This record gives sequence, C-alpha cells and structure tokens, in this order.
Amino acid sequence: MYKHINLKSIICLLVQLACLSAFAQEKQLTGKVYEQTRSNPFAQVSILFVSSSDLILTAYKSEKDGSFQVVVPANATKVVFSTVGYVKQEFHLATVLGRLDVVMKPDDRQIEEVEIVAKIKPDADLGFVNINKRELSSSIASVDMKGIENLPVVSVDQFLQGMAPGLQVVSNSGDPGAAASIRIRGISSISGINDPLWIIDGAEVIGNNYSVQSISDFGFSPIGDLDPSDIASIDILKDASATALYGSKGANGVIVIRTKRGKRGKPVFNFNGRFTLSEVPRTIPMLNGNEHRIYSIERWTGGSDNGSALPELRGDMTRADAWKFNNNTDWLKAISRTGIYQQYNTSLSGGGDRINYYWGLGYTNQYGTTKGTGYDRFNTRFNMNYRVSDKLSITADLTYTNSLTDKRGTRHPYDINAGNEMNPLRLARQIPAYFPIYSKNGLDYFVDRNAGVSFYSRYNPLALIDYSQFLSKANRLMASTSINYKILSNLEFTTQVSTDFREASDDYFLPSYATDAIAGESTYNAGMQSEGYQLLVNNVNKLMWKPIDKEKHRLTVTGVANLSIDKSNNMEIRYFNGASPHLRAADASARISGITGGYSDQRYIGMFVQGHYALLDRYFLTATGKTEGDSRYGNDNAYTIFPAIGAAWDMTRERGIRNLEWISTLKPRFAFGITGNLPKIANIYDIAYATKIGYMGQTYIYPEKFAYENIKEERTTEYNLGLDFGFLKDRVTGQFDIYKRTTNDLLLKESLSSTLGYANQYVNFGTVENSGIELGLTVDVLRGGKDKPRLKSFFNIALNRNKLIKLPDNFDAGSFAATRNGFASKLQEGDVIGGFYGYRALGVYARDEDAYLRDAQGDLIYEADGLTPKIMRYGSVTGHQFKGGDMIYADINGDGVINQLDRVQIGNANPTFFGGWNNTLSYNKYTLAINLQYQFGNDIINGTRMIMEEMSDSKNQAQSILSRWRRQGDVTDMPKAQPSSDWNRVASTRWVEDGSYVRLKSVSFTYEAGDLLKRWGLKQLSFFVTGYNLLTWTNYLGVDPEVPIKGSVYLFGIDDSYTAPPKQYTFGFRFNL
Amino acid sequence: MQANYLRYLTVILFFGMCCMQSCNKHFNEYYHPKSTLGNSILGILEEKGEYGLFLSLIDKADLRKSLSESAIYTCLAPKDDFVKAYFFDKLKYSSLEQVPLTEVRAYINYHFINGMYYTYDLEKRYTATQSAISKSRITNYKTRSEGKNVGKNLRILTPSFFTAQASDFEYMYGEHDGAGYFVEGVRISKSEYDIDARNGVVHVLDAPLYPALRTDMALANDPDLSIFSQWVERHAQYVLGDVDENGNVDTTLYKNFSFGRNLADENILSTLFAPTNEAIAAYFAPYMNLLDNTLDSVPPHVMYSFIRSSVHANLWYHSDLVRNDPQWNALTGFIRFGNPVLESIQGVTPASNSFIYKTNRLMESPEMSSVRSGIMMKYKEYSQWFWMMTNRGLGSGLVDVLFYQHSPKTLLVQSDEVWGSPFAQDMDAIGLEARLKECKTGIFHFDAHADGGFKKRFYPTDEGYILYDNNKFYDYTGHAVNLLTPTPVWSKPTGAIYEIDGFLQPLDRLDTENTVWKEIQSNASLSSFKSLVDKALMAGELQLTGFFTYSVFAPSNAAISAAGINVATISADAAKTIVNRHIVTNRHLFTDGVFNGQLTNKRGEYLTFSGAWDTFRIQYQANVAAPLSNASNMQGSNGVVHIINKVL
Repeated sequence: MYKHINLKSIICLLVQLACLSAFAQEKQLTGKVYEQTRSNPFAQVSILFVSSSDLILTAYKSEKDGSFQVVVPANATKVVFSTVGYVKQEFHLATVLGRLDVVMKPDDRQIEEVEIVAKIKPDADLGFVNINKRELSSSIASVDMKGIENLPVVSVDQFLQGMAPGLQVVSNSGDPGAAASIRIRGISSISGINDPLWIIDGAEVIGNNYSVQSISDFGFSPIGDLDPSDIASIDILKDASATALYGSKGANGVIVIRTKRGKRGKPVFNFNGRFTLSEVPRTIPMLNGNEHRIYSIERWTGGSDNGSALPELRGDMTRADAWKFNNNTDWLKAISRTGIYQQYNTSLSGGGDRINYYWGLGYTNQYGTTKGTGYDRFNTRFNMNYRVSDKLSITADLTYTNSLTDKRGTRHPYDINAGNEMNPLRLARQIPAYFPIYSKNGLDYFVDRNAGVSFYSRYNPLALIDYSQFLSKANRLMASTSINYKILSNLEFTTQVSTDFREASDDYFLPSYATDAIAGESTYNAGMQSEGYQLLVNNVNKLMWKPIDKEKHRLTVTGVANLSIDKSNNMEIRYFNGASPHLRAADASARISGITGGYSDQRYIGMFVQGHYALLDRYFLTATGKTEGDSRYGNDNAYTIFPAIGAAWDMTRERGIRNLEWISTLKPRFAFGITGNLPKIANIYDIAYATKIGYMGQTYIYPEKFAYENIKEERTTEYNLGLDFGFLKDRVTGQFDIYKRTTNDLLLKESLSSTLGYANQYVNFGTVENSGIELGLTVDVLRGGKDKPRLKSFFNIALNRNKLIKLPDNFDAGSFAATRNGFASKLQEGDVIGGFYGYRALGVYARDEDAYLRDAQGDLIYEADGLTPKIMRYGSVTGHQFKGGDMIYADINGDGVINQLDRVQIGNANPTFFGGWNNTLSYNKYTLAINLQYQFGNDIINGTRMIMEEMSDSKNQAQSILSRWRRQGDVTDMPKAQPSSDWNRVASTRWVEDGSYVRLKSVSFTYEAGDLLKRWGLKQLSFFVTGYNLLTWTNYLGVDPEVPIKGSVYLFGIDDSYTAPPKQYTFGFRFNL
Repeated sequence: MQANYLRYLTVILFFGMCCMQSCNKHFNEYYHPKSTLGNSILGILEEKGEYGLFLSLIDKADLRKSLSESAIYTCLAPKDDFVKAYFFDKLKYSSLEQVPLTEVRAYINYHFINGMYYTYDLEKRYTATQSAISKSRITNYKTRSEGKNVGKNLRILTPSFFTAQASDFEYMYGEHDGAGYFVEGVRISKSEYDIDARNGVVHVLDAPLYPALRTDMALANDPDLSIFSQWVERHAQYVLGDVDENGNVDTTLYKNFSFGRNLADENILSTLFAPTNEAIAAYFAPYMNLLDNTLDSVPPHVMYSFIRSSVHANLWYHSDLVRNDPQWNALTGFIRFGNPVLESIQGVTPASNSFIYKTNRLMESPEMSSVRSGIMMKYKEYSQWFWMMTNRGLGSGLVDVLFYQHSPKTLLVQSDEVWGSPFAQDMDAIGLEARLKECKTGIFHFDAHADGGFKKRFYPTDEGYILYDNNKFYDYTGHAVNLLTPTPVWSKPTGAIYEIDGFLQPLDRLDTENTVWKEIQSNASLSSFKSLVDKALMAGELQLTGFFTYSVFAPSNAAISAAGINVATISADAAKTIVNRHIVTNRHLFTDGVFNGQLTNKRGEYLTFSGAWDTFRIQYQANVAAPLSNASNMQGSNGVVHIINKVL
C-alpha cells in the first residue's frame, strides 16, 4: 500500500512541476514600477504576460523596491501591470525595446466598485438558476467552506455536520470510506428515498438513485468520490419553492455544489498536505478472561452448579486443553490500531481574459482504527472556462476518481447465524476473552471449530481480517460541457451535457482456514464477486430572458428543458466449496450458491419556466411551473406538474427602516411549492413475473404482481415562512424559517382480497407531515482589523416534527413493519415515523418476594388455593415466574402477566432538535476555529449494549455486567446471569437510551506564516493543527451517540456495532507557488 | 492585550480539560461498576486469618489462581485446627510437607463446591423443590473437579431438611444439636457464613470435614463388608485414558466396574444394600456342599447377580426408602418384592457417591429366586445349560427380572455327560440353534414339582407338547427319553429341575409339511373328511402356519358314511358347515383330561369336552363322539388332529 502512496504522490508532484516548467523561457524583461508620484516604488504589482488570444501565460510580482526582472514567455505579445485600485497598464512587447519603467495611476472608478461589491450579497446557486440572495424568497442555506482544508475529512458530507440549519448529517460508520446519511427536514416518504438530490456544477449526479451493486454496508456517498478540496461552494435548497425545479426528485431537498474554477491571473499552484493520526474510538470495556469464565459458569448453571458444565472454564490447569481457556485476551485491543491518514491536494489554477482553468489532483490514503480497514483514493478534476467572445463561452469539466476500500475489518457478507453478522469488530466483542489469539504453536491464529464451550472459537476476528480478502474498487468519471450564448443583451441561452459514470466492484474471499471450515460448509473457501456500473446522462437547456431591467421593475424569465437517461447494470455471484484456498475466483469454486443481478433503464424529461420579478428593488416574486415525465410513472399519469411561488420583501429599502442604522437586513419571505418523490421500487407499475420450483422439481413462472398503471409520484406540498435579518451593521445576521410540508399520495401497499391471488399492491395513498423551525445566526463578536482579534460565531438549530396523518383502512401494515432485536415499528395514524415499541423496564427484582403480586392496598394476591402467593409471570399464565434477579417490567394492563399487551411506545429515533455552533477566533496570523455539533431528544436502541449485556450465550459481555444481580437483596439494574432468560433481554426501555449529545467536532489552529519561506518559492504558507471529534458530551452508553439512520425508514436509530468516529489529530500545511 | 488573550485561552483550555474528564464520567461509572463482592475467596480467607494452613496448602498445590479468579465456588473454609485434625490426627502425618500433592489437592478440592451457594440458595433449593425425593437429592452437591479426578459429592443439609427429614440426619450422622446448615455431619458456622467473594461465597466450618471415600473404597474400608467388597472388586476393570489432541494416550488406569453401575465414578450416584459378611454366610450355608464348603467358591455369576440386586441408582435417604417402598429398584429389579430390605438394614457406611446401607441379609436377585438359580449354582454339572443360558438366551422367560413373579417352570436338563460331544460352544450355528430348540423342548411351562410330580399328560413347551407317561417323556414324533431323577435336583417356589437322559424333538411351527392339512391328506381313514375340506375350499386355511393353529376333530370315513353324508354330492356350503363344526382354533385340546368344559368351534357353536384318554368325549348338541385311541393327539406344526368316530 505504501508503495502506491509514494508512487502516486511522486507522479502527482512531477506532473504539476512539469507544467510549471513549461512556462520558463529565456527572454527577460527588466524595469521598475512606481507609484503615481514617482517618488515611491510600487511593490507587489502583478506583471502578467498575455498571448495574442488574451491568455495569461505567466505572472510575476514586483519586488519590494518596485523592480522586476522576469522571463518573457515565447508567445507573449503584451505585458500587463495591474493591482487593485489602480489603472491597468498594458504594453505591447514589440514596442518594449529595453528597460521598462511603469507608473501606476489610481483608478477612482474601480475603487467605487469595490465598495459596492462588498455590500452586494452573493448569488444563491439553485443549480439550474442563480438568484441573488437578497432577492431570494426560498429557504436556502449556504455552507461556509472556510476551514474545510484543515479538516481530516475524506468526503464533504462529513464536513456538513452542524454547518447548516435543518441539515441532519449522520455518519454511517467511523470506518474509512464510510458515507453519511443526510436528511433535510425529516422523513417524507415511507417506501422510498429520503436522501436529498445532489447537483454538481449544474448537473445531476448519481446520488440517491444509486444502483450499482455493492456488498458494502457503508452506504454510498454521492460526493464520496469528490475531493473536498475541489469544492468552492455548497448551497442547501430546503423548501419546495427552490426544489420544485427538480420536480419528482426534489422532495427531500437538493444539495448544490460548485467546484473551484480558475481565476484570471497568474497561475497559482496550491499545495495542501495533511497528516492525521486517528485514535481508537471509545470502546466498551469487556470482561477479561477470568471474569468471563466466572460469568459463563454462572449463566450456564443458573445457580445450580454441580461442576459438570463447562469443565474447561474452571481454571483446571491440569487439562491438556488448558491453553485454550485460560487467557486474558483483549480482543478489541488486538484488532485496533492507531489510524493513519494522509491527504495531499494540489491544484493549479489561473487564467487570462479568455481562458480560466483549474486542475486539481488529490491523493488520500487512510488506515482505519480497526485492522483491515482502509481507503485509498486518487482523484483529479479539471475545469476550464473559455470565453470565445463576448457572446459565446464554453466550459468543460472533467473529474476522475479511483478508489479502493479495504473492508476486511468491517462486516463480511456472510452471517454467522441469523441475526449475528460476521463482523470482526462485533466478533471482537463477542469472542470469549479466555481464548488465545494464537494457536498453541504460536504461528497461526487460534481458530477451532470444536472448542466446545463456545462456537465463537472458530471466529477469531484477527483471522477473519488477516486471512480474508475484501476489496471494493470504484472508478468514477464525471464529464460536463456547456455552451453559453448571449443571443441578445437580455437573452441568454445555455446548454449543458453531462455524464456521470461509475463502475464499482467488490471482491471477497474467505479461505477455509479462516474459520476452520470443512468442505460443504457455506464458509469453506467461500467468496463473492460483484460488479456493476451506472451511467447518468443529463442534458439541460436553459433560456434566460430579462425583458424588463429597469430601476423599478425587473423581470427575469428562465426556461429550462432537461432530460436524463439513467442506466445501470450489475451482477453478483456468491460461491463456496472451492478446491483450494488459493483459487480465489468464482470459476474455481465447486458450488455457486447464488447469482443475482439487476438492470435498469430510466428516462426522464422535464421542463420548467420560472419568472423572477423585482418591484422597486424591494418586493420580489418568484413563480415556477414545472412539468415532467418519467418512465417510472404509470401510463395513466405520464406527466405531472409542480408549481411553486415565493415572495420576499426587503424591508430595509423602506423609508422608515432605511435610516435605522442598527438594521442592515430585514427580509420576510414566503414560499409555497409542490415537489415529488418517486421511490426506487423496481417494476412499480408493471406486471412482474417470478419463478419457483414446483411439482417434481419443475420450474414454473407465475405473475407475481399485476400491472397498475395509475402509479404516480408522492407529492409534497410545502409552505415556508422565513425571515432574513441583519443588525448592527451586519454584526448579527441570520435566517429564520418555519415550515410545514405535507406529503400526500404516499406510495404504500394496500391489502388485496385473497380471491385476487395477490396479497397486495402499490397504490398512492396516505399522508405524512413534517413541520419545524430553523434558525441560523451569525454574530461578529469581535470585528477587529488585521491586527486586532476577530471572533465570528455561527449558531444554528433546527426542530422538526414528523407525524403520520392518514393511513387508509386497507393499509398493508405487514409490508411496512420492521422488527429488530425484538423492537417493533408500528405505522399508525397520528404517530411518528421512527417510533418503536417494547416493554417498559423498571429495574430488577431484588428479592424473590418482590415479584409477588399485590393489590392496590399492597396486600398479597394469592392463587386459588389461598395459600400460594401469585407471582408475576412472563408470556402467559403458565409462563416463567419472575424472581429475584429478573427484570421488572411495567404490567400495563395489570393482568399479572408480562406479554405483548404490555408493549408500548418506548422511544422515538427522531431528534427534537439539532444543529451546530461554529466559532472562529483570529488574531494577527493566528486563527482558532472551534466547531460544535449537537443533537437532542432522539432515542437510540443500543443494540451494541444489548449484545454485550444480554447474557444469553457464550459470547463475552461488557464489564457493566459485573454489577449483575447475584444474591437475594442485591439492588441493581443488571439482571442475573442465568440460562434461558429471554424475559430479561426482551426489547424494553432497558436498551433504549437518550441519544442527545454535544460534540466538539473540530478545533483547528492555523498559523499563517505568509512569505516566511518565500526564498524557497513558497508563498502564503500556513501551518495548522486540527483536533477532530475531540469531545462528546453525552449520557449515551454506547461507543458513540451518532448512530446511523440508514436502513429501515420506520425503524432506525439502532446502534449495531458500528465503528465510532475516531478522535483525529491532524497536522498540515499549505502553500502556493 | 496579547497577554490577556493568552490568559483567556489558558482558562478556556483548563475548562476544556475538565470537561474532557467529565464527559466520560457516566460512561466510565457504568462500565466499571463498583462490585459489592470485592475480594476473592482466597483474599477473604487471608483477610480473616485462621486459614493459613489451608492457604499454604493451596499455594503448595499451585491453585491460587484457579481458586481466586477462574471459576465460582462455595468455599467451606476449614480453620487451621481442622486441617491439622485431618492430616495429623486422622491420616497420621507429622507435617504437611509429608502430605503427597495428590492428597493435598483432594483435600482442597473437597472444600470447594462448584457454584455459588448462599445459605438462602441452599435453603431455597430444598424448599422450592416439589417432590420429596427430589428434595432429598437436591441436597447433593459436587466439589471441585481437577483433571481426570472429578469432584466428589457431599450433602449439604439446611434447616428445612431437619423439618422434613430430621431422622435421616440421625440415621446418617447420628445426633445433632439443633437444626442448621450442615455439610455431611459438619455444621456450618452460625456466625460466619454467606461471606461475599468475587468468585463465590465462603462458609466457615465449625468442625473438621474429612473427604469421604468413594463407594468401592468405602466398602473396602468397612470390615463388616469385606466379603461383599471382595465380590465387588472381582468385577473391577481398568482402562486407559483418552488419546489427547497430539495422539498421546493417557496411561492412567481408570477403574470401573462391570456389573452395570460404576461405583468408582464420582459422577454416578448409588444406594447400596451391602450384605455384611454374616449375611452372606447365612445365605449360602445350605449350599456349602455345592461351594466346596467355602464362600470363596460362590460362582462369579452368582456374585454378579447378588451385587446387581444390591446396587440401586441414585441416592435414597432412609425416609425415601420407607416412603417409596417398594418403588425403588436395583439393577436387577424391585428387590423389595423379593426381600425384606428395610427390615434388614443395620447401619450406614459413609461414602461420597453413594449411600451404603449395611444389611443383615443378602438381597436375593430375581434370577436367584427362580429355577434358573439351579443352573447358576450347579453350573459345573450343567455347564452346557449354563452356557446356553448365558450365551444363547436359553434362560429367557424363566425369570421375571423386575418383580420376582416368575411363571412356573419345570426344566428337564441333561447333565454334561448326557450332553456328550460336541459341547455347545463347539457347535456350528445351525447345530447350536437346533440344540437350543431341543433344550427348550425340555422346559415345561408348568411346575410339575408343585403339582406333586409328573403325571401322564401333555406338558406345554415352546416347542410343542411333551407327553409324560410311565417315567418317559414323548415328543410329537413319539420319540421318548427317560426321567433320571424322580425328585428334583433343584427346586425353587416357582419351579424345579429334573434330569433326563436325552433330547426331545422340538416341533417346528413353521413346517408346512407337517400341518394338520398334511395330516388329514396323508391319513387314509380321513379321505372323506379330506374331500369335505376340499369341497369347502378350506385346504388352504388348514395349511396356514405360524400364527394360525387348529384343533381338528376329524370324523373318520366310517363316521361320515354312517352319518349319511354324500361327499360327492354335498354342496360346498354344507361341506363347510360340517368341517367348521369340527375345528376349534388353537391347539390346546388334547385328550389327557387337563381341560374339561366348552369351547366354540369355527362356527361359533359350543362343543363340550369331557373325560380323559379313553373316556374323553366331544359333544355337540346330542351328538357325542369319541376319539379313536390310536388316531388322536397327532401334533402338526399348526395344530392337532384327532380322529373321532362320529360326525357332530
């Protein structure tokens, strides 16, 4: 791996340097630059050599004394001297015969422009269109990208946490290459996708419609292949007024990304290097070998021990197999390591009057904190703008990414048994601590299929990591080109064609000796190979017309027609029983256990017209009408329409407010829009056929579902009322939004009459509602000059309430119910999506008699014989009688039996509110950035703790069980270890915890060394150290409260042995050439 | 200014460090709970003092880690004096250094019970157990195992035990000074018990607790039981241990017993009714002439049988025996049906894996109470019969192995001299099978001795009926052998053994050439009856063998003719009516007068039988027929044919 690092790094640098060297020429120009009075030399004036086509060939700066001695490129025709605030001085080289002295004159007009620009708010990027933020009526959050270069993030989604109000970002894993799940304003679809749409440089990319086959459990990050260093801006479109442009794809919000482009000026070479150490995440302390043996005997014998059970675990060192059972192995430590993470980014950008270019190269190499995890990525991006003439301009963008993910240390694509995945991290918590790491000969890992006391003896996590092969490879090519033509001064046409092609493959192999498997077992020389691709082709044609452009009236009309083709094809093959562990390919296997594949071809065509009208430069109205057709719509609903309208009022232009100096911005706005969402369900409206094996082993084909042509998208109607404000000369600025979004026509399954031969079918019905408020507040606490301290603070918070408004009577609840670890979801009207049900745990019976039933007066209740006290039972009236050491559950219906009737809603995975608080303190050359991120009110099913405290089988347990009940009178919340204790580990509040947390996401300290190493040619040099995920304040008892929200839409927020985000310490530096 | 900011920064960093500590507090507290059971068992003993010798033994045996960290135990803590009492006073060692390591380990292990049992748990186990017998057995606990040496068993008795079965304590251990918690007969301290430990619980003993001997050793250790112990030891065998993972054989010789219950296995719990030496001598006194006047000559298989009748599965307190009398059974059956067990108990010998009740009577096994015992005791004279019984199942059916309710039997045996050559063990398989049947032809399902001796009659055997007449036995072929001993050579209440001078021919019940139909076919005086059978289409039925048997009272040709039956013209139905009237199912009908009364024929009509031999008559309604004296009692494989002189 290191060889690859070095090789790629060297190639990267050589290529860049080679480019630089191309500018070196022999002819020289000397002279001096003066200020207008000629009394002072002028330093740092840009000296640009320009070609006949106005392309800037190279650039220099004048020295401190104003002098210059520079090399003239061969094809340069003129030299330009320029600096901010002064009139540009141009000379044709042909007229320059000797030394050149230049006098720079102040440019009064340009200085005025600078002041105006400072007040104008930048445009908001809606992807298809840009609207000035001052005139914007939609709820759009722009992410401050400053500081991202200091962070040890591979993907931008990791950076987005807490950076914008209403944007919920939850990491799926702390393993390298893992993606994050993103929600904007809650859950709007039960069947389908709730992830936002991604737009990069105006073009849709493979995102939530990802369909390339992968056995990865990380999830897919649409921008995981995009180097954060190449990103210039990110805008989050949240309300329907903004997202209506995207029709059936915009219901979950849109994230619009602009990548960096070259600027006019001399070529700038930028280098950014980061080296990161990742600390092993917080781990739950496990029992050591001694404690585990004692626990095992207690659990197995249940208080009745005659010594016959588990003789291996009784510390008898005279046994021949004593070496297997008398160890104290810290398995978590054994599979963990300090992670190392390197990132190198270079970019070369620049441009002249006509051509601007940006070329970025990046290399990332990451070794995770779990052995067998790693990520390796090489990426390059080339963006070019070519202004052919004043009317015609062309852009061409190209991105290529190659990534390799090592997943041996993550979940393997085989399960040990139902509900117990083959995941080295999970196994490190499960495998008994009394087992050794190595076999008796010290050469091999200890793997024993017949150790007897625990079947985990054949699942040595280190053997699984080191003996297996599990690589995911991906190549992605994004290409885009656009042509912009100004037909008239107020009429502009743009057309863009873009492609996004991604191919990925997984290669997995598990040799027989990794699990001591024997021929015929499913893990005997087993493997899996998958491969697939997805191709997304977009064409966007935009016509922008400004029919009215006067002081009091401005009208911009934009029409966009776009179409896209989305194709994918993938295949996966699983095999086992290979003849040799060295023949690691499907064709060498004795048995193919399964081949699956998928193919899809979707077409989309859409068109919208948007009018943006400004009255008196203070009243703004934006109206949009969108229509589209999608090949996934039923024939009865081939095309649909999405309207949107928004209005904003810039109150600071009003007479009464204009003079109030403490108000700098005050803009109420309102938006309404309808968007859609079409879940990614195969053959949603078509008839589908399936095969089965029937009589005499004959295969037959039967219709699995019938056609239903009336399918249409789920429609989301959203109202957004917002206020943009700025006070005290914009010392305090912010954005406040209150919204309500209602999604109707949910695509759900309805139950059908059994006489039809089909159990259910998809139809549009049902309503879900999300409502909430969002606040983003930026305060310039200290607004000093360069030599004074500056403190800027950005705080954001978002609250969202989710509610299932309507479900028809014939709703097929069975198709939309999930159960995990005994916890059950339940979709019902008036309830929240994300709630879960179980028993309410009240502690542990201290004594046997505490389980006796008593009446309201506290008197004992007796059995029919009048003598025997009645005891609380589990399951049924003849079920287990609770006793000392058993869990106490609330007997909701008071029948003396804890059963299904006592299950109530015991949690909600949706947070009450979440957000971030980011602070930047600068002083002189020092900058300290502190970012916090928080989430409150969500409940987590702590599945990890469930495994480690359930005391159900031979696996190791957390040290917390040392407080388990052991004798009469013990007052504890931890039940006793006993065999067959289902009643103690059922889904209950025992496993549900408050997931609230505040996280010190990053602390970054930067020192701007400036030209400290100028003599070496390094400019704008800066050093930085960053701590990432340093602290988390939480009462959560898992390794980390940031629990993935992927998986089931209605049952999520389950902590299931994921790798926690590690603490990371980064040192880096960057400079320009 | 800069200094101020630096100060602020320092303060912020300080509070940051504090927060860094506090944010993990809840997590750390939860996963590092304070244990209420802090110290290990050995740590507790060290803290308490008075157990230095015990701890020094533990260190000597290198068991400190095993006993303090590796598994959970209930420690029965012996004070220094108790250790001395055992090793110095009882075992007579002069110093602990002299004690062999194996003995040290055995002593230590005996004071560590597997599992963690507080007194509450001990009491609860007893009280929560429903049935009385289960209550008794729940008092049994297992001490620590080590290697191939499995843990010993001991009994812990709780106050409730004394409430329910105090007499058992007295029976086992003698008087006590009030109810409490006892290990075997040793009291657990009333003040030092339930001492929490990380890996279990400690109870302090009030008196020395001596490791009990294993059953076989306990028997050998009791002089009253020396003969029985010798008998037991004669069935001992030794086997090598298992092969380990490297292919090496454990060369330790492990003892076990071949009589069906391994008394040398601590995991096997038993109750023994062990006869004292006197009891054994008393039992064999009448047979001393057969034993060469020495008890050492008791045949091994007789010993074996007696041992098996003395050994019972599981532990039975005396009160359990009384309460469940006679529903407890030895390996050989419910001995209480054959022996006055409870009345014969004289005392108890302590053992770890059994209750040994000493009895003043030898528990006679079912087989020793049956006629089979004669062959077992006199096996030297009837060695071929003994061999056939032992190896070929000849004795099956002679003994009711559970309840001593043997069916009456008479054995006509051949001495080894009469048996002649070849001996059974030298015969080939076919010859041996034939000899087995010949022997069985001499086993009457009838106790002739109790009947006052042999009489002229047919005696039933599994191989056909044997006619006794005039000191001879006749098989179905007419072959005769002589009775050599008019008085039995061995008798028991349910049977006796006689000697004969030859072998009787067994009747083959599956022989299709010897059916009643073949008999009818071949007899010329039954040609008319044969024709009737043919006409009635019943030939096939009378040819059936195996399950089907018939007694055919076939009228002679003359009788049919006298009855005016025209065989040639009679209809099939009429023929069938006649034939069925003369057939009775089963073969039990003879003319020896054993049976008199009525039976139904195949038509369901009642036939009346009376008389014997010459006076035997068969009557249907008014018709009375007599058998022809020389043409009756003809045994076929599927029945008997009698020729009668009149059509019924």
